Amino acid sequence: MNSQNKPKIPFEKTTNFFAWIAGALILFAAILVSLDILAREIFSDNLFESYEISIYIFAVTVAFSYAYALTTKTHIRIDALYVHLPYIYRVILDIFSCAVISMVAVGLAYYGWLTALESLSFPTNDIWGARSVSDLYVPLVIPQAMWALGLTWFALTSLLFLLKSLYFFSKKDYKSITYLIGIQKREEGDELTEALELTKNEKI
Amino acid sequence: NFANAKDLLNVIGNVSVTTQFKTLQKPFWTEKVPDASGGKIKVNFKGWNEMGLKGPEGLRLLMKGQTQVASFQLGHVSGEHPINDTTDLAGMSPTIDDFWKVTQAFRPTLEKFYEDNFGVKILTMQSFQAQILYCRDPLKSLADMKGRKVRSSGVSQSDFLSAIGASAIPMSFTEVQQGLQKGVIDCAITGTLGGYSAKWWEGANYLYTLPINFAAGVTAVNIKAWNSMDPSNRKIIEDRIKAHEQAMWDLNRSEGEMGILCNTTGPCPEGKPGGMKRVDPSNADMKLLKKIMLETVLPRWAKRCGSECAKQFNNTIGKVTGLSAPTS
Amino acid sequence: MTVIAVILLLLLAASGIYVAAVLGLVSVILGETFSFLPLMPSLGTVSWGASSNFLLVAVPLFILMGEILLRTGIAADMFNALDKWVNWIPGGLMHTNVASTALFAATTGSSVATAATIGTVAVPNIEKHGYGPSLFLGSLAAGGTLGILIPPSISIIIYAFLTDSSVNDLYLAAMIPGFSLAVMFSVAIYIACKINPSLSGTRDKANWSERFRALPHLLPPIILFLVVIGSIYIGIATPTEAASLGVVASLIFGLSRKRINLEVLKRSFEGTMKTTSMVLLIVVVAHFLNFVLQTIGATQFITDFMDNLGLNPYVAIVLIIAFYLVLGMFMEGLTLITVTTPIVVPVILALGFDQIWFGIVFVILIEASLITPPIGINLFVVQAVRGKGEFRDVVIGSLPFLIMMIGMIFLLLLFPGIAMWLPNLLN
Ligand code: NA
Ligand code: NA
Repeated sequence: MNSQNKPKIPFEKTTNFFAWIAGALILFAAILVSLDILAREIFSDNLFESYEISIYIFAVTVAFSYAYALTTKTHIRIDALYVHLPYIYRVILDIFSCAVISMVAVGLAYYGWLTALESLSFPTNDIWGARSVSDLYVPLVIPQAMWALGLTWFALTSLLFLLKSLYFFSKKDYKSITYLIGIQKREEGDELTEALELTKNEKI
Repeated sequence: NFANAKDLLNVIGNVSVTTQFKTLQKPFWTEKVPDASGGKIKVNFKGWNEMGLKGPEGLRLLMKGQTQVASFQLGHVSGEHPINDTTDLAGMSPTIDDFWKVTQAFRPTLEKFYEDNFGVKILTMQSFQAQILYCRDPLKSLADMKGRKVRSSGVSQSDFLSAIGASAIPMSFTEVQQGLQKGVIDCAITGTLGGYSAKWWEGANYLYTLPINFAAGVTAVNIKAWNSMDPSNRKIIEDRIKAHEQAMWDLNRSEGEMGILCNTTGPCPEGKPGGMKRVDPSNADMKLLKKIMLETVLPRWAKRCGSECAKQFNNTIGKVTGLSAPTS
Repeated sequence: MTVIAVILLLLLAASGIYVAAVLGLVSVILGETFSFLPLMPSLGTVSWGASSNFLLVAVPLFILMGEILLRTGIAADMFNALDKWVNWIPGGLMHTNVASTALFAATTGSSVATAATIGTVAVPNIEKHGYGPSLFLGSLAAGGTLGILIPPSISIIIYAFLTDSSVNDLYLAAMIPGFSLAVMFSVAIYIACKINPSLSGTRDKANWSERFRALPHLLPPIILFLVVIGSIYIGIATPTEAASLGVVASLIFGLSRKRINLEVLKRSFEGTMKTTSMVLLIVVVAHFLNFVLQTIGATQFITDFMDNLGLNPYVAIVLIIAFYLVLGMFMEGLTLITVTTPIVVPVILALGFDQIWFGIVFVILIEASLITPPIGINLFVVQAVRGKGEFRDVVIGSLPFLIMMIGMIFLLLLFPGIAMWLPNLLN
């Protein structure tokens, strides 16, 4: 398989973009929490409600990054048995694996939305439904819906991986399946290769 | 052995470190009820913290029928609906007897609300001991609380804290002891014995015995599950639940002053005394608590809960306390 | 039923199915088969509870901190500086490996990050200074595992999350065993090199002026350790808040060296979210599995079963430790923690052991799993960093350190105070 006919990785650019935003938001949360510690020491007060905000940032950014760990093959798989199997079985296991993770992703997304809707439809006196027990009193549907949206993105991405692999399977193009969803890391973007690159020129 | 599904109950109990859990709830659900049924009722019983839950999930799990029976604190679900705060507003009940009256007065309303809106039947309404302040630094009165960081567990407690100029910090129960010890927070609010059991006296030195509220809670059952139970089994629970509820109230009454003694000088049947300095509230502070309740806590709650809620309050709790919530 | 579940779980996991997916699948099967309630509908409520937890916010924060230290070269500078100080001991650079992994461990929460970071800087020296590769590589693989024992530690945070224990107590309890283990690693190197001098390479002894000039490069990790751990114990921060301070401090170090740019940030963000989402998917699903196991009564069943066996607690715990050493050969550390904690910890408590103490024993067992073949993540990482030669070099070279880990576990069994003294003292 030469570089021209490598299959396109589903949503690669978008998941990557989401990861940058997510990381930036985590950094933002770290700064916010640090400022709150400072404010607490100086003015004895929480200025930014960073405790609660950082929780929501965390829940939403992680949900949006599940797909990124999928496209970069970071989700953990153990190959103790796998490596001893003939190639075609490994390909079939890859597809099965992808099917199971899609199922989990769809389940998380579906029940995630149900939880958000449940919060919204709690019979309170305003339209926002259930709220957080805190000074912020945030309508829970807001962070929960964003969280469910991230889970949905994960579900869509994994389903697309599954569909693509099934398509390649029907074409007997097993190499493409291995490239897309096999355990082996793809060459580019590998963390260790990168780490080596980074320090290659460091003098020791 | 699960042949008769009607007889198998999943019960989520209260937080498992409490005496209420250990001496009452656990024996009730794992021994009394199964024994009385001659083994026809099987119970799988765990405290909510043992299930890996954070506290507020109990209500939702009950509504969906994911568990048949659950105990949870009403303050933890005060965000799910403000009506959950009604019986236990900060500053409303000076003594546990006042709190009992308030609870009884509002009980039919809350029961109906739960049945109509959540599909959940309330079996018992309980609480813990009086919720009081554990502080690191000396305090003589509420005026000293200005600027302090206080761990709170509910919307109405937060309203009270903001009114006295303290800042409310949300923190999970298990983090509080270290938080007090290291000064991440200045004070924390919990029951008189609960704080002793969790060793808060290791981090806090001053116990301010002003009773803010009582950590009201319920034990409830999913109605569908309840109705589908074998009637004779249902009766076994019905016949014993009142006495169980009574036992929880009696336990809280006996533990109220005992918890204070345990935290301070002793004698303490639960272990060695905590050695905290006891500070009893002045009459002025009792009045201030009432004033804050009237001017801040009650109106804010009424605004959150809506006019229908406020009317119900006036027709029930209002009758026994003489309080009146603004209805617009 | 539990036995079937565990076998199913291990079989599926070993076949290369995503670990998170296996846990999800097993939860659903158990929940639908052994519970008379369909438990699936609580998936949303329960996983929102796990996903919106302040304690777990520390996970991406620690990873981000490590990424920044790696990508701004602060880690490499630290290695070079430490080298000037410990190089003279027989075993030379290998002590540098252990010392820098220990010091880096004190700033970051991950074993893989520690092994990869220090490994990348250290490996080129094998040939340059003529070391026997195996012990050298072993010192990196094993040293890297200190990342999860010496606080701060992601593994400790996840253990605390799953068992509802105090992170502060666990950190304190890990302190003495963590640094002692680092010293024991150095002793292992010293002994090995005394027995077989060919394992050691040439040592350039640095002079004192070089040493003192190198000192400033040790400041960032020391300051970070003080910020992240100190802020907890002087009482201005919770563990997650401390991690936030650590991120901000490492950002400031990077900025002051003019090594922060958009590219560095982008790469750090990518690395952070990759690892965080990988960890969290497993933790969230394992949390749901925990809920299912509790609801169907499986945990109670196992605890009662162990109780009925009536084993002597010490016999029982030695069996449990042996079980983990074997399981750890085949399972990856995170999976090991998340899958077994809900089942094993109640048993440990029923046997009368302390859950903080066991947390430390457990983390050392996880460390061992990272350097035992066939599946040992740190072995893989070091081999990958090395990029050539035989995998068995790394495996054999890690053995002396594995022995030290097992030794430390037995020390903890005999003298629980090694772990419990600090938390008891400060409480
Ligand atoms: Na560490
Ligand atoms: Na292993």
